[in-house]
Formats: sequence, structure tokens, C-alpha cells
Amino acid sequence: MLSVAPSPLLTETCSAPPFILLVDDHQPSLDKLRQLVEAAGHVCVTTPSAPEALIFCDSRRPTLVVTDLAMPRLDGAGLARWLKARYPALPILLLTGELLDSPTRSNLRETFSAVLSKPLEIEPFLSLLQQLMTASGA
Amino acid sequence: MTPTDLDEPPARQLARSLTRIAASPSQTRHLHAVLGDYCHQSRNLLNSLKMSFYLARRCPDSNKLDPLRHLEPRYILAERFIDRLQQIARPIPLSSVSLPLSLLIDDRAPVWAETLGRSGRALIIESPLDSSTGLYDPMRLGQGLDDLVAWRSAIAPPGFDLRLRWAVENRHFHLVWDEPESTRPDLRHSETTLAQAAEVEHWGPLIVPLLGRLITLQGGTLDLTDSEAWTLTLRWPLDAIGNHGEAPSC
Repeated sequence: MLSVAPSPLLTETCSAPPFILLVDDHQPSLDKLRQLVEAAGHVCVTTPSAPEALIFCDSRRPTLVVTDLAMPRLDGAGLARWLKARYPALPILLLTGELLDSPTRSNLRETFSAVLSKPLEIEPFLSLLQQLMTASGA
Repeated sequence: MTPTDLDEPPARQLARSLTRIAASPSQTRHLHAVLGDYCHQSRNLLNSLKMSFYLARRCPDSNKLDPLRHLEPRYILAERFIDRLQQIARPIPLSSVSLPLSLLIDDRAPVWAETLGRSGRALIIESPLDSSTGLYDPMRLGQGLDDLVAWRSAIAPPGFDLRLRWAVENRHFHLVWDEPESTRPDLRHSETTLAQAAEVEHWGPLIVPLLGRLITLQGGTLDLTDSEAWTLTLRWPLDAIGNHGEAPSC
């Protein structure tokens, strides 16, 4: 059961959709990721935890979610399961600093549109963002 | 720590410590907990650095940032180092099958010979006449030996023959990598070769504890003699039935 108060840490950079929701508990990574995604021309919203991301999505629907895997309280895989249950068509990208076995990676691919390892291959990551945003009509 | 330890490059010291830990399955749980967190944080840090480099290059004054280009190879070294640490620290689920070891050696030998040949070294393989069948994880052991060859070929002086011999004794595979003399980079090498050897020394030695983890899970042992000669011995039972390694962490 999730019972998390709305977060004052949620940073909104633009009020108009479409936008990308970025979720990572490592603040320097989150800040840098936001800069990267914004530099590529996308609007984004950042949040440092999965429960806060869930609460945010109740009020505003992102076009795409990019989340870290290892986070306290609720990890990226848990977040994706909740979001997919509510919004099955929502594309979700997973970024992870873990070395994943093939079976684990295959398992995660059933939930996520793509599973990417940190450090990111930046150009392919940005191309993928563009593809998914375009496919979602953004 | 002995004076000899202090003279060693840091990655070799780390490899030596991790090899000792790898020999004790009860300690590898702590290794996973401690190194797992460290590697995760390091990857986050590297990821932020990589994005910073990318953004810096895109800024209008990026031509003033030319020195950053020299940082990129250092960054790649750090990434490889963390990759290897993470491979050692994580649980290793084995996919062992019963095969003749000759199958793996014969399959990889041409690639190893080519790798060594590019840097003026030769590999002499001594195989037994009879190849018994035994359990091993062909993918993980093959990759481990590939990485061992890559490391040793990068640092061994040209002209030296490296020797890989294997046999079956007392229902155990014995696989021995043997270098007759010290393989520290030779000062007569060209600057490029020295630089490559120095780079590979940052992460190459960590193949030893990784092989140690693999062989310990297979019910065997790894021994390293690193004095004038450099000899790595892997020994594991042909029939370690029921050993599937460690469960994946996620």
C-alpha cells in the first residue's frame, strides 16, 4: 500500500503536455539527465522517488517515463508494474547501474519499452526518446 | 601488507585480495553487499560524468574544451574497471554442461593465437591425448580465458612464448597458464605499447579473482604464482553435480 504525501521536491519545468517524467533517487544523475533531455528539445518533469512519481501521474499523465531501477521504498520495476496496470500504453524506459543477467533483462523487457545500462550510450538513448515521443504523438 | 605488495600496481593488489576472498564462498556474500553498492554508486557517478562531457561538447564554446578529449580514454578505463568489479561482486549463476574441455580449448585457440600474434607473441597449447568429459560453464569459462589472454598478451614482452597446458588427473580438470619469466612491461617497448600495457593494468588483473569466483563455484581452486614466473592454475572436479552457482540478485 502506498501512502506518500505529495512531494515538495517535485520539479516541474513546464506545465503543458507532452512531457517526459524522469525518476531517479540519485539527485546529481537526475539533474544531469534533465539537462540532457531538455537539451535534446524535450520538456521534462523530475521526481526523486517512485511513490512520488505514482502520485504525480494520478494528476498529470506523462508521454513517457524514464526511471532508475534501484531506489528505496519502491524500485523502478515496481513503479513500472503500477504504472502499466493503470496506463497500459504508457512507454517506460529503464536505466540501471546493475549488471543484469540475460533472464533478468528478458523479464524486465516484458514491462519496459527498453532496458538501458548506465553509463548511458547517449546518442542511442536520445534517438530512442525521440522515437517513443513521436510514436506517442508528441 | 609487505613491501612487495606496496610496489605492486593498485589493481594487482586489489586482484590479489579479491582472489583470496573469492576462494571462500561464505565471504562472497559480503563482497556482493559491499562492492555491489560501491559499483552502483560508481556507475551513477560515471553516468553523470558522461552526460556532462556530452553537454559540454554541445555548448558553443566547445572548441575551448579540447583538453576534455584526453579525459575520455580515462573515463573508459574507469568504466571497464567498474564493469569487472561488478562481475566479480555479483552472484554468478552457472550454466554448467558436461563437455570435453578440448571442445572449448580447440574452439578458442585460433582466436587466442591471433590475439597474441598481433603483439609478436606465440601461445603453445599442450593438450592430453585423451579428453575426458566434465562439467563446466563453457560461456563463462571461455569468456574468462579470453580476457586472461587479452590481458597477458597486452603486457607480455614480444618474443616470449606463453604456454597453456591442461590435463585430467584424479577426476579433476587441471588448466595451467604458464609464463616462464616476469611479464612486467618492457621499457624497450614503443611508447604506444607501454601506454596500452599501462591502461590494461587498470583492469586486466581483475580477471584472476573473476576466474577464482567461477572455479570456486565449480567446486575447484585457483592458484597463482607471481614471482619471476607467472603461473595460474585452475583445478576443478569433472563431476560437481548439482552445482548451479548462485541465484541472480534481481
